[in-house]
Order: sequence, then C-alpha cells, then structure tokens
Amino acid sequence: MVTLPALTGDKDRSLQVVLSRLEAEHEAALAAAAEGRAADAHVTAVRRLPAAEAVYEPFPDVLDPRLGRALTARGITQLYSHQAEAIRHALAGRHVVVVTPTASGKTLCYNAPVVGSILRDPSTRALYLFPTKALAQDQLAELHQLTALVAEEGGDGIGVFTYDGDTPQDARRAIRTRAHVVLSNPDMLHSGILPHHPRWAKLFENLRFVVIDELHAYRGVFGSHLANILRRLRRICRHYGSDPVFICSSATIANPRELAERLTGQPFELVDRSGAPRGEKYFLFVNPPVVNRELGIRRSYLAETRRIALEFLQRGLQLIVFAQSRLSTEILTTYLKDAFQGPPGTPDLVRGYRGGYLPLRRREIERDLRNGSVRCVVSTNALELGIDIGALDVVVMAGYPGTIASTWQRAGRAGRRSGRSAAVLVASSAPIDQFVVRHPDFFFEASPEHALLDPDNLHILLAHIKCAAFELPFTTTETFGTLDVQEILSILAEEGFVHEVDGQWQWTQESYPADAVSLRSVTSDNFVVIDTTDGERVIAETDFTSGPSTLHEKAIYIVEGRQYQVERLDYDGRKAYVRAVECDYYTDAITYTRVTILDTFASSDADGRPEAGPGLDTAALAAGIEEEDRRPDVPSYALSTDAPPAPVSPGVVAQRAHGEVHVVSRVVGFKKIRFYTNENVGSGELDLPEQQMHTTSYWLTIPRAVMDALPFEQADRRDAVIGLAHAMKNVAPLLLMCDSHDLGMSIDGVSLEGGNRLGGTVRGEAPRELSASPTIFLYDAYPGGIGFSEPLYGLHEVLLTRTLELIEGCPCATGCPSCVGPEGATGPRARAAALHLLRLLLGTIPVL
Amino acid sequence: MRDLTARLRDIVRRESGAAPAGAPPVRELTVVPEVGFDAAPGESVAQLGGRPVDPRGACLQIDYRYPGDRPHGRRPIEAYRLHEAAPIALFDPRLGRLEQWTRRVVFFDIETTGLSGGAGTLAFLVGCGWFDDEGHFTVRQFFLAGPSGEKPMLDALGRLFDEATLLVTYNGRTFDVPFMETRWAFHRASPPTDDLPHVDMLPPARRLWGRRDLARPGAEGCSLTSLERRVLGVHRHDDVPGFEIPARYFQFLRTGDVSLVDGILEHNRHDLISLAAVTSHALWLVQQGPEACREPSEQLALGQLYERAGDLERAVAAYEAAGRSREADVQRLAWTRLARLHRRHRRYDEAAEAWQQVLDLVPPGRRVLTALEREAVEALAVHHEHRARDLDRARAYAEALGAAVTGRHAQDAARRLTRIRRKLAGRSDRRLDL
Repeated sequence: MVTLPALTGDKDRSLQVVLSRLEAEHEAALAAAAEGRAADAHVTAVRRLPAAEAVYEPFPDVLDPRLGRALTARGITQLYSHQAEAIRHALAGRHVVVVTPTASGKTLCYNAPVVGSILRDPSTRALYLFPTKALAQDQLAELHQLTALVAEEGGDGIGVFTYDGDTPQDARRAIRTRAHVVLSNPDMLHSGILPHHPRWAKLFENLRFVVIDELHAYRGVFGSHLANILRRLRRICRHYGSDPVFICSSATIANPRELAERLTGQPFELVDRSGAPRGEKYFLFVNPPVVNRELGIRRSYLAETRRIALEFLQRGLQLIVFAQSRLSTEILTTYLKDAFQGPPGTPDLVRGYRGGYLPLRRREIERDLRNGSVRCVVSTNALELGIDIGALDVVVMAGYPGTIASTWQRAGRAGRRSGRSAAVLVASSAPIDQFVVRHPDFFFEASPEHALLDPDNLHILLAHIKCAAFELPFTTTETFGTLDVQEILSILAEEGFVHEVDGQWQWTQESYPADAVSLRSVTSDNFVVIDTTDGERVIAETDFTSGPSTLHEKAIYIVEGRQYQVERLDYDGRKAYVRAVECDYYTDAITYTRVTILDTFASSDADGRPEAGPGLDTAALAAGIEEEDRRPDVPSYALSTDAPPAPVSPGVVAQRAHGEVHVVSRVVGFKKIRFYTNENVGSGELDLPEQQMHTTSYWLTIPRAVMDALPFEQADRRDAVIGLAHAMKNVAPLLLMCDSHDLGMSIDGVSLEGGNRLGGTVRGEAPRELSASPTIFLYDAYPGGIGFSEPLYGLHEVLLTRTLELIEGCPCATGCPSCVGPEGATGPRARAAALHLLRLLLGTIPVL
Repeated sequence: MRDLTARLRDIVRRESGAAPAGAPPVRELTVVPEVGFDAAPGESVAQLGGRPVDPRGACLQIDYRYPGDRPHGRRPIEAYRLHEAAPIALFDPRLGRLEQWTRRVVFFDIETTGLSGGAGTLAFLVGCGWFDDEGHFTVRQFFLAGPSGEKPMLDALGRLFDEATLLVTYNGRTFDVPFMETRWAFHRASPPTDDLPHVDMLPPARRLWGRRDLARPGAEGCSLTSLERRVLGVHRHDDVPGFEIPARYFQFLRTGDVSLVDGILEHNRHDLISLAAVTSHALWLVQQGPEACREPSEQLALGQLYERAGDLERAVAAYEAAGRSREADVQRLAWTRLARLHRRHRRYDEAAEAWQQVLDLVPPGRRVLTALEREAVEALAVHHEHRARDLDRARAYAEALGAAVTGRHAQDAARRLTRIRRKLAGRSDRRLDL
C-alpha cells in the first residue's frame, strides 16, 4: 500500500523528475539501439512544446453592456483574441467556425453572442446541438451560471433548457414556448423537433443562432446525416422566415472550414488562432519492449501504462488515463485502484469513467476531478469531448487513439495555463500504433486528418428527403440544399410516398418517416442479444451488418468481460439467444467476401496516367440531377483530401482505380482462439445468409509484370499480396481519419480462406491459387459509400509509401500482427516478399 | 456510370418493401400509380357537389341540410336540438356558466391522413354541423382536393368558429382540436379555438356507456359507431371503416377517383349527426334523472356526474336507483359510492346502511371478499366500534374481516379484533363488578 503525497507542492518539479527518468530511458534506448540490443523500456520520442502568452482584447462594443458586467463579476475582464473575433463575426451575421484547443474558453465564443442578442431582443431564440446528451447537460450548468449573473445585472430571465430523450413529456410544452436557448442533439432534432415544427413555431420564427459544438464529431455516416438534417432545418427556417447564423466549434482537424461548409451548405469565417495562454508541454511516445522477437510479441501495453501512470501519481500529480475500450478501462482502473487504495471510508482517489455509467455518477466524478479529490481518472473517449473536468497535469494514453486529431484532443486534457504538463502515448501492438510510435515525425509534423462526409450518399439522402417531404411539401421547383431533387421525388411518387398536386409534392403515407431513420448506425434494423441463462433478458444489441459475424451459433459473445455463448440465432427475427459460459477462448468468424466492380469512376494505367479523369464526381447524383446553370452557394467540393487526385510519381506502376462495387459477404465458419496464447483450438462451419451491398471502393491491381518479377515461389508471392493487403488495410484509416471498421478489404485473384479476415488456413481443391494479376479492394463499409474511396485513390502513392514504412520499421523477423499479419496465416517469407512487392510497386526496384 | 434512376428506384423499393419483422400489416389499398389524372383539382371534385373556397378549387366547401323530421335512430333529427336549460356544464366543469350557449353549437369532427401527428399529417376533411332555428341540421364540410387548399380551409373554418358559441367534439380535446391548432401554427396563424368553449363528449360517454360495454365479453369500446347502435338504435350501411380512410384519400389524390371520397364524406356527416344525437341524449338523461335510464350503469354514471357537479341530492337518488337495480356489479359500485358520499358529509348512519347493502350482495357461503367488500366490512367495523358503539356487531365485522384478508391487512384486522375484545371484556368485567 502506498500513500499518495498531497496534490500541492511544486508540480513543475515533480513533473520534471518523472520526465527526466523517462528521458533517460529514451537515451538508453537510443544507445541500446545503436549497439543493436533491446532496451528495457523504449521511449521513442520526447518533444517539448513551448509555452505561449495570452493575447487579450477588450469586450467588443457590439456586446450588450449588461453581459460585459456579468462577465466582469465572474472575473472575466477582457477576452482572448479568438473569442473577440468569433463574437464579432457572429454578431455581424457571418457564420463562423472556431478551432480551439481544450480549455481556451470556447463556450464564450457562442454564449456571448447568443446571450448578448437575447438581452437586446428577448424574442431571439438559439438552438445548440451537441453530439451527446452529457455535453448538453454540461453546457446547461454553464449557461445557467451565466444567465443568473446577467439577471443580477438587470437582464430579463433567459430560459435555457435541454430537450432530448430524457425530457419529461409534461415539461416539453413549456420548453417549446419558453426556452430562449434549446440544448439538444442531432437525433432529437431529427425525430423530435423538425417533424413537429408547427409546435416549435415560436423557436423557428425567431431562430437567430444555431450552435454546433464539437463539430469534428460529425464525420462519416453521422456527419452525412447531420448535413441532411441541417438542410431540413434550413428549409423549415425559411418557411418561418428566419435565417440563423451558425456558430461552430471544432477541435483541431485539417479542414474545419470545409467541414462546416459541407455540413451547413453555407460559407464560413474561420477563427483558428487561439489567444489563450498555454503552459509548456512535453509529449512522449512509449513502445513497450519486445519480449518475443520471433513472434513479435511485446510486453502488455496495459502493464506499461500502469507503470508510467504510477510514476506520475506517486509524485503528487493529477492525471487522466485514456483507454481504448470499455474493457481496458475497467482493467486499468482495477490495476491503479489496487495500487492506491486509501484508508477505508475515504473517497476513491482513482475512478473509472465511461459511457454506461449513470449520469449522476459521472457528474460526481467530474466534480471531484475539478476539486482535486480524485487524483486519477481512467476513461474511454467519453472524456475526450469537451466535458469540464478542469486542467490536469498529465495525460497517459493506453494505445494510439486512432487519429492525429483525437490524440491532440486527448493530450489537450492536460495543460495548465501556466506551468508544465505532459502527455504520454503508450503504443499497443496494433499496426497503427506501431507505425506512429516508430515514426514520431509522421505524427508531430503531419497535419491532423481531414474530416470527410458525403451528404449526397444516396441511402442517407433518400431517407432525409422523405423526412423533408413529410415536414414541408417540396415544390416542383425546389432544391434540397443545392441539389435538384425532382427526379428523386418522382421516384418516391412512383412508390407511393409522395404525390404531385398543385405544384407540390404531398406526402401520401400514414407513416412517420423519421422513425425509420437512425443516425448512429447503418440501418435501424439490428439484432438483439437475449440472455436465457436465467429467464430472458436483453443484454445487448448489435447492428445488422455485424450480426452474423458476432452472433452466429456457437459464437462467444463478450459483454463487460462476461462471456456468453450463442445457442441459437433467429436470423429473420433478428434475435440471438445466448447463455452465460466460462471458457478460455473467444471466437473469430471467417467471412468470405467477394467484390465485383460495377463501374469505374476513375483509374490510371500501369504508368500512372489517368484513364478517366477526376471530372467524374463520386457524388453519384452529379450525373443526372445536379443543376448545371445554377451556381451553388458553396462550391461543390471533390471529396478527396487533396483534390484533384495527385498524379503518381514516375516509376510507380500499380494500377489504381476507384468506383462503384458490389460486395457480397457471407460468414462461412469460425475459429476458436485461446486467450493470451492466441492458439487456434478449434473451428466450425456455418451456413448463414449472404449480405449484399453496393458501395464505393478504391482498388489496386498488381500488374502481371510485377507479379512475375517477384523472386519468390508461388506460395510466398501469394503471402506477399495478402501481407500487403493486411498492412494497407491498417494504414488507410490513418490517412483517412476514419475508424478501422469504416473500411472493408477484399482480395480478388487469391484463394484464401476467410477473404478479408486473412486468418484462415487454406482448404478446398484450389490451394494457394494465385491469379496472374491480383486486385486488392479497400471499400467503404457502408451501403452507397461514404466518401473514403476517392481520397484513397488520390492518396495511392502515400498509402503505398506509408505501408512500406510500416513493414520496414517492424522489428519482427518474418511477419507479425503488427505488419503483414500473424505468422500462420501467412508463411515465413511473407514479410520479405511483401516488402519486395511494395518496392516493385513504388518503383524503387525496377521491374525488368 | 450505372443508370442513376435505376439505382434510386432500387434503394427506394428495397427500403420500402422490406417491412421489419413484427411491423403491423400494411393496410393500404393497392396502389395504382399508372392511372394519371390530369384534370385540375377543381374539375375532379366538382363531382362531389360543392363549391370552391379558393379560386383554384383546392379547397371545397360541401353543404348538406338534413330536414328536422328525418329520423336518426329512434327519433327525428330535430329532437336532438339542444336547449338553453340543458346542464351542459355537467360534462365539463371547466365550462363554467354559459350564457346563450345554444345560439350556435358547432359539432366538429376531422378526418386526417394519419394518426401519428407531425407536420406531414393533414386534416383533409373538416366537418362542422349545427342546428338551425327550424330544427334542420346543417353540415358544412371543407375538403382538400390539394394541399394548397389548406390555408383557405383554415381561414374559412376560422370564420365559422368565430360565429360559434360552443364546440362539441368526440375525443377532440386530445386529438381534433390540438391537431388543428398545429395546422394554424404551420401557417403561422393564431388558432381561433383559444377562447371558444369546448365540450369533449368522450369522457362523459365513457362514464355513461363505457362500463357496461367493457364488462361484457367482446366489448367494442366506446367508439361513436358502437354508441350510436347501442344508445340511439342507428345502424350504418356501407360505412367506410376509419382505418381505410387515409389510404382512400391518398388513392384519390393519385387517381382523381371521387368515388373513393364519397364514402368518407358520408362517414364524416354521419359521425356529426350521431355526435349531436349522443350529446343530446346524454343531456336528456342528466336532465330527466335515473328514472329515464334504460340501464342501471347509466344511473350509476348519472350519480357520478351529479356528485362531481356538487348536486348531492340528485346524486344520492341516482346511486340509490342504481343500487336497487338487478346488476350486482353496478349495485356494488353504486352502494359503495353512495356510502363514501354519505361518510364524506358525516351522515354516518346512512353510510353504514349503504355499506351493509354492499355486503348483502355477497352470496351466502362465499368467504373471499372483493376489495369493495373488504372496504365495506372495515368501514362497518369502524362505524360500530367508534360511532354506533355496538361492540358485538363491531366484533362480528372485525372477525369477518380477519377471515377475508392476509398479510398486512390481516395484522391490522387482528389488532382491531384484539382491541374490540379487550373493550368487550372490560365491559363485562365492569358488569361483574356491579
């Protein structure tokens, strides 16, 4: 048992002590590497980020003086420069997106113009959107504080309310008429507010501001939904004669302005120079040492995280530990609690924090973090977003958060306005982690990711056009955003959803379309998991597409560390019946995936010359129904990060393309894998229905000449392709700022069990078959595609280069899960063959 | 690129075709989208026999006059006129005192394109009915031949409501009126219903005729259609069932086939006459008192209505009439309510009598008591112990109670019994002393 020192004292000094120890490890590691032996702990990078002075500005004249006095009463006598700039834009009616580091006072950027405008004209209304209910609650408290101060300065009562799924029915009517500021979320706006807009007439008639907080959270499918919801919102506003100003705040991403403009369809001012002061910060990368070089096994990153967190805790520093999953959060909380159990009856010094905890408990932890009675919190990404927990001294990340933006966001949780702070990233053995930690420059010098979305994804668009048609009939000349939707409406008319009469498309269904659209998953259809151990009880649900692979019969399904075995899958009824079991293995489904090319949007030949240019827009609508003579308010962006697609360097020979594909996948079997050792201890065959999807894909075809030039046997050449695909699939999310589940992978021309899972052994009559010119597909794992394929096409060469760096930099001998896939799935020469293949593709080895 | 139209069609069909498991069966009529109807809305609906409200004819006004001597059920229509003296406020205490409220009583009923509510659901047919001075019943219906007719419809309806002295609906407090109010809000107009007195006949109808119905197997609920058959003796022929109405209207929009709408208009008119008749009949019953009732449950309901309105004398009479009926379920409730009423007004002996009536209904030999019977036994035990001071009878009731209850109630009963016995013993002791 260890007693923790008080949270006071010279924190800078304490921090310095730990940092010098770790820095010494770094130098030892460098020295050890120079001598060719492994160091005990491997600190791969130490960076110092200098402090910055505050830049102040006085309150702008346009701000109501009562608000100024209220802020002064709170100790705010002047504004940071970025706050003043944002307030000026908003009050002048210009849409503005503010990019702010953590703890730089972003809420004032929108609260000041909103509250100021309500003071000037009490009929003014504002709508705030947060990605989660918890964030709305957080802001509610902050706004109440501000409005109370304003009331003391002689402002009239300002009504601020949250409106979400938790709002009691009997309170809703009052909120609809009395709220000046409504705090809600996209889901509620979509299904609870917009379809009932007449009840909200007062809000929409007077809506002057729409605040979108945590803008960077709206990318991919969620963002595409929000973009369409905002198109609907703007239609309703037009109907009631309002035209609100959008105020958005975003964490640091590469394209905040573009994201805001794509989400809202409006031109934006960007405020990205923070005037907030910043203390000196150290950023360290830690790679747990290798314990088995042959198999590429490293020491557990959770154990390493524990060690480092303890170093800081023991020296009286307050810290937050980020874990990658709910399970690892619980494990780390247990580890750290075990080490620092206070005397009985005293409050816990170490707390866990994740989604699923009750709101009251979360509020308590947040409060205790602010007042210092909690010394360490272990959290999932739930605390990454802007919940107020005060400024901590140290952040330790157990595992790379997946994106550069998210890593900076988490690192920003530590950092006092003055004095030092530190952020430590402990890499897991996942390929992305290994790549980042071994290439610190990639992380520190690269721009953060682009947030991508595709508002014109046909599936999403259609769903929202139905909702919009229900809310307000489309006229026969109306557009949706800048899209001409008349053709879509006539198709909806064919199917009886709408009917054209009097120059309007009238909704002609009894149903309520918003109910059928869920914003957070692919379809609203899902599988429920029913525990039959003791009575029947629903314990979880999973989305439709991942149902078969996680809930097939005999699958081990894990919820909060408890194992359940699936006894029966009722595919048509979308139910899986499970029973609690205790076993030492988990299951991994073998999915067979086949991709067929339907349409090629663009491609370049073996010499890298484009065959079909970037003139074709992936936004599939462009072909038929984008209006030509009407210039859209916002230029229609190509979806790529660096549009137009960069021509590849001379010498790069792979044929690249992107386009529309048909993906058929079927779960054909499963393997049983023992915990810790990862041994394969059994398998089974399954016969489940196929799942089909049309989506978009990027693909790379390895020319016959390249295959022929590989100086390896057939089996190794096959392994080279599989290994390359495995590594590319892991590198691509890094470049796209997407979740690794957003991308699917398939190889055409290589016979391998398990298709994109790459885990199977070869079985059947065509062993190790290899086509003369195989193709690797990386496709959007969402029907219709969500806009990753075209950027990947543009990033082709970068993707190959990064993939080469990943495999080259891996310390394993023959291939490991961190690079070309686990030994066993591929042969002993997989790594060497994949490297050779990549060099051929990149032209560093000439194809003879 | 693959044909975009084909792809769109694919997605729309796939998503609309695949009904999720457990979804209610599709109730729509078969859609025949190919039948185009090119005529302007006004032309097609001219066949409905109305006059256009707006120049385009997107809203149509259809007037019907039912002669007063035309029978509706057992009585002629003119017999259903409401009279100034009728105690309408009994049905809704919020009405307060109304002056000249019979000048223009508007019966109101709407037909909508769905029940889910929300901005996309329309009231495509709005029906209003009233009696003229001669006893004829006029029905004015506003029908939407197209959505652009809604604003003119709302304006016309607003003018009609401005003339009204009272609005009478069936379930209008939760459905019709709030629904129309959102339509006014949609068009950014203030609703004319704000200051208009409104009686929703569903709650009193439930009181009067709902209980009897639900006590029977195969109960039909308290829909207007079932009421008019049971209460008024009206039988509808070829009525359009309510659930078909939205689909018929959508089909009409697509095909222009007015025959689909005729039935709906008829249905709506019929509803309005029956609403007037049911209202009138309910008022007549309240006015006449328990003797006029055909069913004991009506007498019981009258008792409740009178009691709620503070007319205790008539309430007592109504409960007593219901208590003397031959339907044990109604009798039990009537005596219980009467007993509670008496007790509340400190008429303890009358209350005890009524409680005893409840117990007299228990068939001999049955030991288990229902909740109402337990309440009666307990009340009688209390009454005889504390007020009548008849300890022997009090003990008998307490014993009966103890035998009929379990758990916490049994403990209470045992405590009561012990206390009574102690009192009894004390009394006999004193006697011995003497």
